[in-house]
Amino acid sequence: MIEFQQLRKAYGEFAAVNGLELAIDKGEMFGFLGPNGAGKTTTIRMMMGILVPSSGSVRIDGLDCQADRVEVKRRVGYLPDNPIFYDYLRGREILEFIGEMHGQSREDAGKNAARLLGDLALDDAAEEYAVNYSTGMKKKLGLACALIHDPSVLILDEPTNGLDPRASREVQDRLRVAAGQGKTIFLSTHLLDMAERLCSRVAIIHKGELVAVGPLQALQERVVPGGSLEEVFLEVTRPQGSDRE
Amino acid sequence: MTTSISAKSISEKPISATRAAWLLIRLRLRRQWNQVAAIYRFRAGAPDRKTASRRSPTTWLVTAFVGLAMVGSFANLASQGISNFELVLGTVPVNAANPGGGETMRQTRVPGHPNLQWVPPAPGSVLSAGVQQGVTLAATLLLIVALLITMANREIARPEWDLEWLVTLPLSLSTLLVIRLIERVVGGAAGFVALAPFLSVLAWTCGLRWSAPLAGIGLTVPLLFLLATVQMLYDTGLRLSLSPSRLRNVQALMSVIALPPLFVAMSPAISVSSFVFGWVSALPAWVAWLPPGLAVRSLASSDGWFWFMMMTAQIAVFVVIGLMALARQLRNGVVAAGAREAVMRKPSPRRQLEQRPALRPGRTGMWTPLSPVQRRELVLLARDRTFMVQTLLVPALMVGAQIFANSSTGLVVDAASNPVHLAAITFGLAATTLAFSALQTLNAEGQALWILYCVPHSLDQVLRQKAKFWAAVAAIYPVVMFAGAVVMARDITMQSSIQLLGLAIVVLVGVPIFATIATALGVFACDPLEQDIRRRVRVTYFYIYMLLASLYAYAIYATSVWQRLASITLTALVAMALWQKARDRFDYLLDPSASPPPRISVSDGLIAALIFFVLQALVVALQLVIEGTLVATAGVIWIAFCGAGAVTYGLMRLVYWRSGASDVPRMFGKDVGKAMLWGIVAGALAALVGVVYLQVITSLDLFPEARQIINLPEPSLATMVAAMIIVAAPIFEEFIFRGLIFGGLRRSLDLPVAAIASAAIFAIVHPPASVIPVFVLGLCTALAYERTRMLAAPIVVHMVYNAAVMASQWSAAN
Repeated sequence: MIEFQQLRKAYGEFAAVNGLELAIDKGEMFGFLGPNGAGKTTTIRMMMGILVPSSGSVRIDGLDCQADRVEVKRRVGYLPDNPIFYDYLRGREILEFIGEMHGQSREDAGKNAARLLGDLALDDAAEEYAVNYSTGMKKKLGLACALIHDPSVLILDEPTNGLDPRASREVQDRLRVAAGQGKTIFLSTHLLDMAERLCSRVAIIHKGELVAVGPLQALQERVVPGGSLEEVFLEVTRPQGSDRE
Repeated sequence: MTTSISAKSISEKPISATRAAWLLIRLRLRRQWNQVAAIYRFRAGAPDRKTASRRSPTTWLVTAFVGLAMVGSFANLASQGISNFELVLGTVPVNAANPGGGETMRQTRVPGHPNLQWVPPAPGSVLSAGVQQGVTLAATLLLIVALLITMANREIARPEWDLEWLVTLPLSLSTLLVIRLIERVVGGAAGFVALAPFLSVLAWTCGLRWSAPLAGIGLTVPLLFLLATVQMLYDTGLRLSLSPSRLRNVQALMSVIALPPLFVAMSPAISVSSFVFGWVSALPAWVAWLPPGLAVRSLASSDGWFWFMMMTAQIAVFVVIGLMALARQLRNGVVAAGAREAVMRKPSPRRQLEQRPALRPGRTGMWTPLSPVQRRELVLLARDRTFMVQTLLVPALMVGAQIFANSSTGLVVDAASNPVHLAAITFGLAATTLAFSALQTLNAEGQALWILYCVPHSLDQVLRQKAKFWAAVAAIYPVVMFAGAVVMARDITMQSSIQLLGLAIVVLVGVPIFATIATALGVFACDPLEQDIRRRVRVTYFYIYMLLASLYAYAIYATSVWQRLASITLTALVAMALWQKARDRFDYLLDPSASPPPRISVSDGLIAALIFFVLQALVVALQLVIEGTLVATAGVIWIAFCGAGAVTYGLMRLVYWRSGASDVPRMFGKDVGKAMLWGIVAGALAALVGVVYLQVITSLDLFPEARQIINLPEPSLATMVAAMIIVAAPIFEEFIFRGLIFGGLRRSLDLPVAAIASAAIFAIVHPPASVIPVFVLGLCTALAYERTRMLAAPIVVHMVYNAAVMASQWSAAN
């Protein structure tokens, strides 16, 4: 469903993502882990065509994320790390706008928006300008925007960042439901317990390079037998040279 | 023991107020410096990831130049204004002022005005009473303008407020307020620019010489304290009582309110018949006792220091009272509950009743012709007052100010009677509207641009929709004004109505062209990644846009249909070229480091054509200057043409080679025979059309002026000229017109459209008599190039055509 082929992105001399090679199957809930600044957001932005790969490619459903950007967007819902919305527009209006941009009629977009706002407990804020939302509310509105066209692939950058414990749990439940419907979910996070609870497979990147990938249990057995995901994570992202001497 | 440890861990000793002030002011100045420095720091190894900055160093030069020009023009305006005050209020007719021929009066005639003489200065002053009063009025007006401009500062429209952060520092509120006051004075550019040049020029007029700027600045600084106090009171009061979106609307309102006083304050400098001179006598006496009046007195009076002290004391009292009021404003904290919150607010019952049902379909029918993007744009236009004021009101005010400033030239009267002026004014309005809307379209998306990357539409489609929307909005002004002209016209003749129709068409065709240009330039002008809203638009592109728009006046003022058509075609091609360049950029807008791969484009073709023609003209002009002749010899034309062609060709090749551009036109390909065949067949066709056309115009004598061109050159030169026409011209022109312009157009257009457009531009650069056959030639060469992808093919077509036409002309001349 999602294939990374030698994906590389360099900012000048600095390679933010270097030779990423991954394949994610249909219906998988895939966790993309890594320390701060590892290249998670850069990778996701390349999947969305926001950044242009320096070399290599990402394909979703066989379509190149750069060349077939428009077709890819029909299939993908995206939640950015820090969603910023238009000024002077209400939450509901933004959601309806995105629904309509996905080709829904005004009527359908209105219905879908109302349903999602209810599901994500945003009803009360629906008539508020979205720039005035708190971080958590913006994140939830962003999730609603990602879900409004019922995409088959969800690409979520830190989906529970900034959410309170209850909202975080609700979002995780929604993601489980989405996975149950057969959607492919690619989520980046540094919350290991969430990855442990939700994901069937994870990849860990460190300094732009893939350092571990596989089903959770297999990883644990291979890297730190009997250890938790946290121990695996700390082991593979250990700063270079710290285990020598 | 424990106490000393804890005391030590807190701090050695509290920070002093002066040190805090110094630190904060330094921080503010460093921030401003960084802002300026970041503009010209070009890949200076900054530690951030934006290694490959997209900013060019020229921006810095432009900024510096604009700054200098601004100070210069303000000083010029001030001196113009003061001398007008002297001329109007400080003079009397020679006889009336001096009926008895009194010898006591100084008989100084006003230079340039033989019937006027200076009124002697008032007692204790270097200025006459009238002038002093006038200058007092001017200074007061300038202070009001500075105040309004400061209040219209965009700072207030920002959601974050630095005071919220500053109060977390270990300083008392009063110290903080004083520091902020000083900070505002130091950074108060608007007030400084408004007042300092005026007061400096006034000081000069009052007899100070090289210390005049010093005196001007010395008087400005206390006044800046006054401004800063008012600004802080206003700023704080609004921040505590209004929500962010209201604040922005207030800011928009202030920016409009500030404009009329600005015009009023400038008008004495512009015209001696300004109505402001009439106000001077009505000026109440107490105005002279206000700070601006005292500032004038301290320059004009013999006891200047006394008045300066008085002004300073007055301002000091005001500042103290202001700071006390500020402290009172902030007694409940710096954040008003609910003003900047993100707390959920329940929609009011009224809102629920009125708005909820309206959201449901039913009302939608009205907007169906608009796409979601266009509808969103309309909602933003209706809600965002800053935007509305900028797009719809500012153009009217700008054009209004121009008319106002030129009222003495009679442009206003003309516009009513002369539709050409009307057309120019309406086009100016529409173009300015577009400068504030279409040019800003990416800017309006700002950091929410990611949303457009999540929907299944290309940015190209979205921006096209926006360009159409803004073209429709901008067309409102011309449509209304032309409709008004038709209604108001008293004696409308056939001829005048045709003229009006022609102008309306030129203007209304120009609007969508310039909507395209503005949107495309906006892609380059705006940096959606830029955090600082003031730097998100690069002002250079705004000027480029305005320059292009003013060039369109040529189409409006042109007298022949041909000239109009030519300039419209050229402008449309420029629009097309810019759009293509912009489109290459779309995928890279949010990428701070990558840029689109170099490809050939229409703009390259236009640039190459420009270089080619300018170089030719330069060489010919050089010869005319050196030899002092009026007509260029065939030899020089030969050198100019071949030299310019070779240089252009070499230059473009070099640029493409350096940048590694793809699809650079090739001279030969695999199947050279096919190219030759295409060249000869298409060339024969074009030549046939050309020769027949030549016969027709000669026999009908359609273009008598064209006959002069057909002079046989000197026999010695004949070979050279023939070589130029048959060999050199095809090579250079085909590279530019087929290789670059047609090739560039073909990237984004279908074959027929690209062929017609490239043939049209090729035709316009030829004299009117040969437009039709050259257009056909353009089509034939484009087809030959398209089918073979070798430049050799169109070159052969061009050679055959030129040879045939030249032979036909020369044999006719023989």
